[in-house]
Parts: sequence; C-alpha cells; structure tokens
Amino acid sequence: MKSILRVENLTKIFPGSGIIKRYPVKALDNISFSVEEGEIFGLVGESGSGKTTLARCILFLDPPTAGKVYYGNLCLNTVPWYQWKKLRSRMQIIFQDPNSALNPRLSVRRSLEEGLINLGYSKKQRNDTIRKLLDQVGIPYNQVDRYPHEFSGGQKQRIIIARALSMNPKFIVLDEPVSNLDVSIQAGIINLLMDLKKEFNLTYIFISHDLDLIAYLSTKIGVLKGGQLVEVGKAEEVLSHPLHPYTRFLLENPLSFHSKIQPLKTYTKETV
Amino acid sequence: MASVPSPLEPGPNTISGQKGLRIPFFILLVRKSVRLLLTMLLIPTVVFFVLRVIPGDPALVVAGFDAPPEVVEDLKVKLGTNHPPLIQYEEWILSLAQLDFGTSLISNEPVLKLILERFPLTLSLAVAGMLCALLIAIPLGVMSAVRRWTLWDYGGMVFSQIGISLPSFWLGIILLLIFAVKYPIFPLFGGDSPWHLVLPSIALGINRGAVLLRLVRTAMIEELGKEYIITARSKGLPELAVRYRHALRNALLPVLTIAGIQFGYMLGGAIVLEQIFSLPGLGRLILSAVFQRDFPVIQGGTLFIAAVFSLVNFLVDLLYSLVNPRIRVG
Amino acid sequence: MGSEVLLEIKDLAVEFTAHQRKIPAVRGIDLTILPGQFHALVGESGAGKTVTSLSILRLLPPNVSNLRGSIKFNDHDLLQLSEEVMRNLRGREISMIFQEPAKYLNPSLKAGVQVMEAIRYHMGYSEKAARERVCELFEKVGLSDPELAMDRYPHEFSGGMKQRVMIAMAISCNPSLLIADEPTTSLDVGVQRQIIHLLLDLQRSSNMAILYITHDLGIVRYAADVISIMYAGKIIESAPKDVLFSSPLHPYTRLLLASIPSREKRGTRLQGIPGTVPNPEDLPPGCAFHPRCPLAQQKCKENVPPLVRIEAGHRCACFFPGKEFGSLL
Repeated sequence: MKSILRVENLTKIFPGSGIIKRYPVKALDNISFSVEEGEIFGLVGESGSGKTTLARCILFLDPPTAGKVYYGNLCLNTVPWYQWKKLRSRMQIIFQDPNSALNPRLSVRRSLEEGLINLGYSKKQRNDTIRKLLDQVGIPYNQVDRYPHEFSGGQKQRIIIARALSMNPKFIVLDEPVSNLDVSIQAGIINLLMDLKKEFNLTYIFISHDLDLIAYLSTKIGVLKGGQLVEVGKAEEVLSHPLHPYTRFLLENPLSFHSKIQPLKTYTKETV
Repeated sequence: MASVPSPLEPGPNTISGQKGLRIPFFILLVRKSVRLLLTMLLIPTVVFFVLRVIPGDPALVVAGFDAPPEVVEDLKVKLGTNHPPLIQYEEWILSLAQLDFGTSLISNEPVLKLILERFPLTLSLAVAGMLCALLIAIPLGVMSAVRRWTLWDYGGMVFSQIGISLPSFWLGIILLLIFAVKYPIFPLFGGDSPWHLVLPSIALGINRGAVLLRLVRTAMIEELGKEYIITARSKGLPELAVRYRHALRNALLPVLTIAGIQFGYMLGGAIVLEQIFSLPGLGRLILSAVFQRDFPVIQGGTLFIAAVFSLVNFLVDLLYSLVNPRIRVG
Repeated sequence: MGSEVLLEIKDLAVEFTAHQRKIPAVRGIDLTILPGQFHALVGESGAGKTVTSLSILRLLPPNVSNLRGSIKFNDHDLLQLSEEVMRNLRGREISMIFQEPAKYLNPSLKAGVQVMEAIRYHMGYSEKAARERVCELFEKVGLSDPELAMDRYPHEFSGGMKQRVMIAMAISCNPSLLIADEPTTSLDVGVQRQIIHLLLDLQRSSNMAILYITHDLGIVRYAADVISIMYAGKIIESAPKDVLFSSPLHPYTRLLLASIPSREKRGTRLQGIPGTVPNPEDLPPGCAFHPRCPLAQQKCKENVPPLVRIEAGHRCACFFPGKEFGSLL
C-alpha cells in the first residue's frame, strides 16, 4: 500500500503569553506516523492531549514548529503559499461543531457552490454536482435553498460532509465529527462516513476521545497523551495487545458501555 | 468501595498546571507601579510638546499681539522661551524634578502652591459626586434589572435618560434656584463648608449616576442570566443574597472600570459647575488662567490633572484586580 | 408503602412560551425514586431531562406558561409549597450539581465561601463552625489540603476539582436527594470515573438518592439502579438496570442500545436510528417516535401510547412492546 500522509518528528510549541517572561507550551512532541491509502487512522486522546493541534498542523492550518509532513511524495513544508489553494481541496477537515462551520447567512446551495466555483464548474455542472452530493449524504434536494438554522445538528453535519466531498478530496481529517450530536444520530453519520469512504476510496484521520468509536472503525490506532503519541499500530494489535499502560487504562474504562468490568451492584426486581 | 485507583489517573489533588495559579498581589503591585512610573515620565513630555505646538511664541500670546517688543522680550525671559525648545525641555524636566512647576504670571506665586490650595475642594467635590452617583446608580440599576420590563424598570430608564440628557450645569442652576434662592437651605456660593458641596455634588451625581445606572442594569441582567445564579438558588439562598452577594458582585466589575475613568475626569475639576457655584476649585483656577493667559499655571495645571488621572487609573486597576481574582492570572 | 417513597412525580407537564409559541418541554411524566436509589434519567437533547430536574427544585425560568401535575417529596407536594418553605428544602433536602462546574460556580467568590453559604443559611452554623464543616466536606470529596482549597477561586481548580467543589456544596447539608445533571460529560475518562465513584460512595454512606441525568449509557450501565428513558418530553420506558439492558421493550431503547459502537462490531454496519430528534415545538401526533420507528402502524400515528406496567417494575409506552423488528430494518 502507498502511504498518502507521512508525519515525521512533528513538534508544535506555542510561545505562551506575557511580556517579561513567557512559558512556552509544548503542544505536540516529536510525533511520527504514516497513513496508507484507504486507511482510517483513529487518533484517540483526552481533552488537552493535542488532538486538534495535530489535525491543524497536518494540514498546515497551523504550521508546525519542527518536523515534516509528506503528502504522498510531496513535502508540505516546502509548498509555496500560492499552491496551497489547490492542495487544500485535496485535504479536507471536518470539525466537531457543525453550527459554527456553516455560514448562517448562506443557503445550502451557496455554501456548496462556493468551492465549486473555485474549481471552475459551470452553472449546470454545479447544480448537478450539488444534487448528487446532497443525495449521497441524505439531504433531500428540495431543501437546497434553506439556511443552516433550518436544519438539525445531524443534518448540518451531513451538509458539511457534502461540502468537503465537493472538493474531491483524497483524505479527510475528521475532528470529533459526532461528539456534538445526539446519540441516536451518531450511528447514521458514522455509517454515512463509512459508505462514502468505500465509494470514493477516501482516507480518513478520525480524531475522537471515544475509544469505543475509534475501536469500531479504525484500521490503525494512535494514542495521544500530553502531546506525545504513546502508542501507534494496527487496530487489532493495539486493541488486543496494548503495550502502553495508558492505552490499557483507556481500554479498561469501566464506564464504557461495552466494558467487561462488572457494574458495581444490581437491583433485583423485588427491591423496586 | 470497588474503586480501583489506577496509577495513571490524575491524583485527586492535581491542580491544572501553572496556568490557573494566582499571581501574588505584591508582584502585581510592582508591575503596575512600573507602568505608572513610565506614564508619569511621559506626561510632562507630552504636555510640554503639545503646548509648544501652538503657533507663535507663548510670550507673544501671553502679552498680546500688539504688546511692545521689550515687554515680549521680558516675558520670554520669564517664561524661558528665549532658549531653543530642547533647552527649554531640559529646564522644564529639571525644575519638575525639584517639584518646581514655575511661578504664576499674575499672582507671582508658585504654581504648585496654587494648585494644592485648590485641589482639596476639587477632590471632595469629585468624591461626593461619585458617592452620589453610585448611591443613585446601584440601587436603581439593580431594581431595574430585577424587575425588568415593569413600571419600576421604565421609571429607572426614564430617569436615566433624563439624567444623561440634562447637562449638569443646567441641573446645577435649577438646584441653585430652588434650594438656595427660593428655599435658602444651602448657601448660594463659596466653598468653605461641606454644605457648599451638597448641591454641586448632587448635580454632578445625577448626571454621572444616570450613565452608571444603565451600566449597572445591563451588567446585572447579564449576571442574573448566568448559570451560577441557578446554583445559588438551588442552595436555597434568599433572593436578596442571590442578587447582592452573587450577581451584583460580578456586575460591579465593568461598572467599576467606567466609574474609575469618570472619577478621574471629575478630578480634573468640573469646570462649569465650579463656575456656577463659585467654588474655588482646580477647574476654575485653570479656566481663569486661560482667560488671563497665565501660561505657567495652564502648563502646571494640565500636568497635575494628567498625573492625578493616571494615578486614579492605577488605583482603580489595583482595586479591580483585588475584586476580580481572574485578572490576577498569568 | 407511602413513606418508603422519597420522590413521586405524577403526570408532570411543563410548557414554555417563547416568541408567542408554546413549547411543551415535558408532557406528563411519572417517576418514582426510593430513598438511597440511583435513578438514571436518560435522553437526548430536548427530551426534557433538565426541565424535569429544575421543576423538582422549582427553579424553572419565568416563561413557564403551563405547569401541571404533582411532585411529592416525602408526601409534600413541592408544587404547592410556599416559596419560603421551598427555599428551605433547596440545598438542604434536595440539591443539584451541573454539567459545567466552571459556569455554575460564582467566579468571584472563593470556593470555601460558596460551600459555606448553604451550611450557614440552613443550619445556622457560625463562621468558624462552618469553616470546619467545609474542611470536613472537602476531605470527603477528595480535595486534599482543604484549608488551602477553601481560599481558592473557582478558576484555580481543574475541571474535575471544580466538580468536587460543586459536590461538596451539594452534600453540605446531607440532602436526601441529589440531582446530578450530566455532571461528568465535560470531564476526561479518568476524572469521570473518580467522580462517579465519589457519587456512589456518598450515595451508600449516607443513603442519599441520586437522580442522574445523562445521555451516556456507559455510565448508566455502571452505576444506575433504575433507568427511565425519556423521548420528546415523555418517559417511554422505565425498568431496573438489569431488566432494561437484558430485555429492552421500547423500539427506541432497543435501537439506541444497538447503535453504540464497540470493537466487537468492527466490520459490521452500525444500527442507526433514521430521522432526527423531534423539535419540541413541532411534535408529531400520536407516539412522538413513530416517524422513526420501524414498527409504526396507523394506530401509532393517531394515539399516544400510555406508559403501562409490563411486569414488576418494568414499564413501557408502546403499542407493540418487544415486538421483533424482523425484516423491518
């Protein structure tokens, strides 16, 4: 398999604030991994572990302090600014909060059109593409002229996915794409993402704090803790033979719904 | 308990890093003092050069354009403007270092002495005016916020609208006419007893209080809508404690900032009010100096007001960080 | 039997009016909590969980246009009590903790002062006695060095520590019912676990009942005694934990349980629930779940299924409880 994304010794240091003395914060510490084409790289970590910073650094939305990122054979560190626009369309990112990712003043059509105009599509091509995209993510085409506030959170996330797809990306970084959604909606979005991946031969970097979710869909798992990638490997291996104690700790979470750990106590029918 | 503490769980006593820790008040004091000192050094420079921007020699301005040349020359020597500006600047700074603000052209008395004679009155007027403003703004603002969209609230808003629109000098005149002329409860002019301050402080207080009232109302409404109010109520606290102990405490933070700035302005002398009530305050001193073209007094007075203003801001800053613990986070 | 029940909600309905529109947030629910019981109220956003809990404390926002039903607490109807008596109950008999402790603590009051308030107000403790009590409480909730912690402001604690302060505050007067509204949702796995253990510990040591509001079935599985599932302002199923997880009856419950991802389900398709969570302003007629339900029939579109007892302790509001989905999915 061909590697589509390779991260080498990535480090991100935030300078910190203060006039007289600054305390720099090391958000990411020497991170290396590679993602092969068609994989789902699941990145699991708690709040403050550097998940989102890593996502932003990979796409150079925030340039890393040190280290290199390769997209195929292309080293992203050396890409001049004027080539980024074209490159960006190949690498999409979807964030946690669907409410802030859509411009409230633009109808769905306008939101989706913007990127397509940039790609040089004609009016007819645009309409056809939008119809197809909305169909794929399960939004009825007759709602195309509605505005974001008329949709529920799950529907908004579907529209955002459609927008990302419209750019014909090769890989998508998904930063907690379902955490803000209701439980009963999450499975639908996950299923949609899996279908799209198959259909368009996409590669995902899937970031989440929820190990159950990561365990369900990843082919490769990376465990992030305090800015360090403490474990990375094939999903089956990480799940069945975790090496790092922190991975074991996460896997043994008794509060996970499928945890093997017995609940503390049970009430019998008679006591109720 | 079936709890099995894992070595990897954060211990029950970890406090989130360095970030959330309080900066000792002392360090804060030092930091802010350094800033104050720098400002204090900058003020004379600014005052000096601003006054030099006026076209023509100050001596000419003071003496009048048709004055005989020898009078002007004489004045130039007295004002020190016969030297080039940089020399003048050096002399000005050096004399300031010895607390010498120059001598009045009219009374021949040291400017600093004149200012310090007048300042206590201006200070007490500002303090009384501010007290009056806060006494109006806080209770009325809280009442307006708590009973939003009721007659009480509309009453408060109408009062505030009127208070903001009416200039304080007009209010002063009306107060004088009613309470000094028609019903002579308070003295008509002069400034030698606290009684003389009552009417001008009320005039000043209503005007400033009207602005602060709106601020208190808005801030209170915002705070009362915050989540910690639900917590306070869920503890079973009486409504008064919820309002005053919890909400007002936080609502006063933005109010304090504005009140501080207003207070600083008041210390510059409420020029018109001092004129109306014939109060010999700082504002009047500078106003008459302007009329009489008493250059050293204008220069010294401006410097003094600017210095006091920054001092007040410094104190408000300190007070703010005492009241608001979140400011003291590095 | 009557004295054995701590809290009994009967036919509670809460309706708000906003922008001239009526929003039925809670639409007639029955709920019973026994002393010392860990009762989980599970539901998605807009299901009416938080409104239910705030009605118990009578802390609903002022735009309530319709409030119906009764909430009996130790045989007194809370909805009929005077404000003064109610205030005496809050924080003393019933107290509450919230999802985001950072927002629910007053930012400009020291932790100790905030915890002390209820003690001083309800129990009339002196300043000194109250301080000692706070020390005790802080130790109990796992804040070591309580003297130091008391003089800290909320922002000087981490998220988990703030929640501990909240808990100390809530249990300061030994309440018999603690309402916990998603208290661990914003916390990390390890901290979540500590807080749950702390709550369970307190529940057992002082026989305090907990009404735990959440959407997280993992926590429910671990800690709850009894579970009630809410959907669109109604309780649609209620049962002891083991019963509910081994034989769920309502199609919503069954689909919800099936939709949770896990490593065992790798490679298979997740069981999603079609459609979206209904907006309380615009509820479908009949059973609110029918547009998303694979079992729905004409009957479900026209009639609201009542919450009926299926077997001891297990209640379900569905015309076809437990019916096989078969090829309907």
